[in-house]
Amino acid sequence: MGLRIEEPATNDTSSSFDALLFTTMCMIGLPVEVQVKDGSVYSGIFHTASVDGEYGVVLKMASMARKGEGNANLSVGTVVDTLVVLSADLVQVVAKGVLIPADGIVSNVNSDGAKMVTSSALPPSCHSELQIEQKTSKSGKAISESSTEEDMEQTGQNGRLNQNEENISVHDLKIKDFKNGFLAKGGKKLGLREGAAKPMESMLEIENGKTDTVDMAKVEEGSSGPFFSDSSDERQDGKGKRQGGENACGTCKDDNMVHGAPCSSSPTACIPQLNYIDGMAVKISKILPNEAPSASLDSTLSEAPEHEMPTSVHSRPSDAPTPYVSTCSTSVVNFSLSSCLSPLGSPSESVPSKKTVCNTNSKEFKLNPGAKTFSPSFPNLRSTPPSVTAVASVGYGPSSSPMVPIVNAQPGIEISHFTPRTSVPAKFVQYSNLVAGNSGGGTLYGPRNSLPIAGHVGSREQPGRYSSQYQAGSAYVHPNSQTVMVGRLGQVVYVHPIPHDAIQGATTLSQGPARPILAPQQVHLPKQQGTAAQALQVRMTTPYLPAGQQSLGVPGHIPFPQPFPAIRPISVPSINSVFGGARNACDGRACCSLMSIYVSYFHFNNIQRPY
Amino acid sequence: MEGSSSNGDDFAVGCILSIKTSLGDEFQGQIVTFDRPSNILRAQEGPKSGSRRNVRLLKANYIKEFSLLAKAEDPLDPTKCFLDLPSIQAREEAAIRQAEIEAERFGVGVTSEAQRIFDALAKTLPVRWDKTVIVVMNEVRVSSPYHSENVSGGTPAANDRVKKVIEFERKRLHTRGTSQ
Repeated sequence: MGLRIEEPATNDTSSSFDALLFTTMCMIGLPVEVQVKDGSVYSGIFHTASVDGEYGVVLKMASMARKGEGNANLSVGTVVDTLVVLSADLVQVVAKGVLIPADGIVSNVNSDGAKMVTSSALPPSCHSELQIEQKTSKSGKAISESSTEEDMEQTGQNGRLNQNEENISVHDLKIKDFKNGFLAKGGKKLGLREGAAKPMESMLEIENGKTDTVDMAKVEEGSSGPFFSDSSDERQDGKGKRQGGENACGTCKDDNMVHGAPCSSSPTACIPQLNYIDGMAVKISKILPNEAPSASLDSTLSEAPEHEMPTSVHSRPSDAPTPYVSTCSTSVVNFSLSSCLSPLGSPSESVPSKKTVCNTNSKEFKLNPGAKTFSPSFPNLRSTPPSVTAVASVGYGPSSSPMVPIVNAQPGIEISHFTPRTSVPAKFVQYSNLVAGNSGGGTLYGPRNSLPIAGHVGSREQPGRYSSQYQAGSAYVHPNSQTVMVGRLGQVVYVHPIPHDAIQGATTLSQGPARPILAPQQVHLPKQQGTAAQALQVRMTTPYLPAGQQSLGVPGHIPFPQPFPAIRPISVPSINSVFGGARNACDGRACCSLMSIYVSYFHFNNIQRPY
Repeated sequence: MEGSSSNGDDFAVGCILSIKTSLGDEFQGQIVTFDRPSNILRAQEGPKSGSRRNVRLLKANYIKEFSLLAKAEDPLDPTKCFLDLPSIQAREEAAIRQAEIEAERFGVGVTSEAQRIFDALAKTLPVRWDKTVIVVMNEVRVSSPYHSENVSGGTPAANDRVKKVIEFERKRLHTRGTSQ
């Protein structure tokens, strides 16, 4: 969290004042030596200073280091808790080893370094995006606060945001406080430099954008921020800001046309967006001087045709605290977020993901708050089902990818649909987070027709789910018996090359080396690693029930490793879409719900969890 | 931060000056800013390569003379400056805590010799001041005038240990005093 002096000073006086204020702030907490006019030198910790006209300083734990000519009531070596040096007595203040924070240099105390690490871990494009959006999100204090409150209210009402998001929302409030408290003299703006809050905002946008209900308050601020004066009457100017928000939201769509950048599901799509915003900023700054009233700027913004949001519904008056509804497409969010993933890109990452590196970082730090300088690496991208899977069971396979990721939003215990591709040797299937019969117990499943699946689930978060299609054995064996990848990166089941004849003859296949990569909540699974080499045959005897309760019959002769004393029919209430309810797109929350169901299943059936 | 050159009396930002104060200090530094209302000149010293500098805030009316050594650009880019307020707060709290700990090491109303003995004992043993009495390991007390015969209390081993340290330190102080 930090404050950035955003604008160059308009005159020398304020500029010098800002520099002096900045220097003073940098010296807080550092040991300094203060010389007074009688020649005495006091050393202490720089606490604060008065910068209004006269410059006086306050030291903590001060002591006289050198006695001057005057008669001071403080002897050498005596420590006083607080020493106030008036401006009339002050000669100079010397601070040694001052670190001037600038870009890339943080202060020496790493109290909030996690955010800086999070910020620095981002690719440059994403970083610049954050900065730009930070700049732009500071336009209206009141609106910022109200929007944050709205976000939190939405969090509470919908229960859709995870804990991570809530934390950053709270953090956002703190940012607002700082923002309010550090407006520079003369109306100069001190911008925010918050790396971790932005992922939160992005996440919010994603969440909202996924349901076509976008909380545009922040976006509004975002687009209008740099061009508006930091005044409270911006709140009254909500229409213009909304239009600004539309502009910000609509830029992504326009990017394809204006810049011709690879925006179509491209990880680099946020860069043109940034350029676009920059360009807009430049353009507006050319149109209007700094002192231009915001109303005229609003009109300018609203008149810019290329910034218009294609579809937006203003459902509230401008001063209403709740956000208006806009049908901002999710691609806006996905573009910018996928840009965060760009350095880790691989052909199998073409499935758009809702989780981001930023959020993952935040989660990491939340899990281990002490690791403030920890910059996690991501050998495998954690990706949840994409937000673009509004249409259920839509096969999604980019032609350029050697592996075919198949987005399956259809819930339930069934194998996702496969998209047979003649020239593609691998297949991907979207997996949900639910395991029918516990994927930890073995990822090998012997269907009725004895067609085995050997391989590992590449997902850290989502154990596989298995389908009736697979039981039917219709589409699971690759015709050319080559390597079959089932799932996608993060939810991949890798199936070893199995010849046709071998598959026909074999009943089970050892899946020992092909274990799923365990998520933190699945740490209990490796206990069964010793029996992993044991060939397991899981027979899904109960058909998939689209509604109501579903029982999964697993024969008792299955050699499950220990904590499954008796595999009996599993009654899993179809609370959500997992076992066949509404076929919503599976997202992270659904996966969490699945895990909850998974855990509650063990509790309900009084089965000891395989720790 | 382009110089405060509108007024001829102001200092040009970025210039490297050699400044001599009316109190006898002399230093060389680069002008970062000059705030005319408070008449405070902010200069930074130290190598350009390092990120840490010595910063000096000097009242301009205490400048006795100065000479221009070189001209340079404005060292402070306002667009790249930011403040990490929690870090600043934490830094100050940590510094105050550390200062309080160090302040407890200073005896009040004791001689410098007593303080030196205290410091010598503190190198190897846990010591604290109980007014003018040095308390070692919470059991051995060394009272003024801090000779070995003034050691009391504690186990014999601890008592002997403290006595030895005091004798050794006194010898060392005596040797240092005679050499100087």
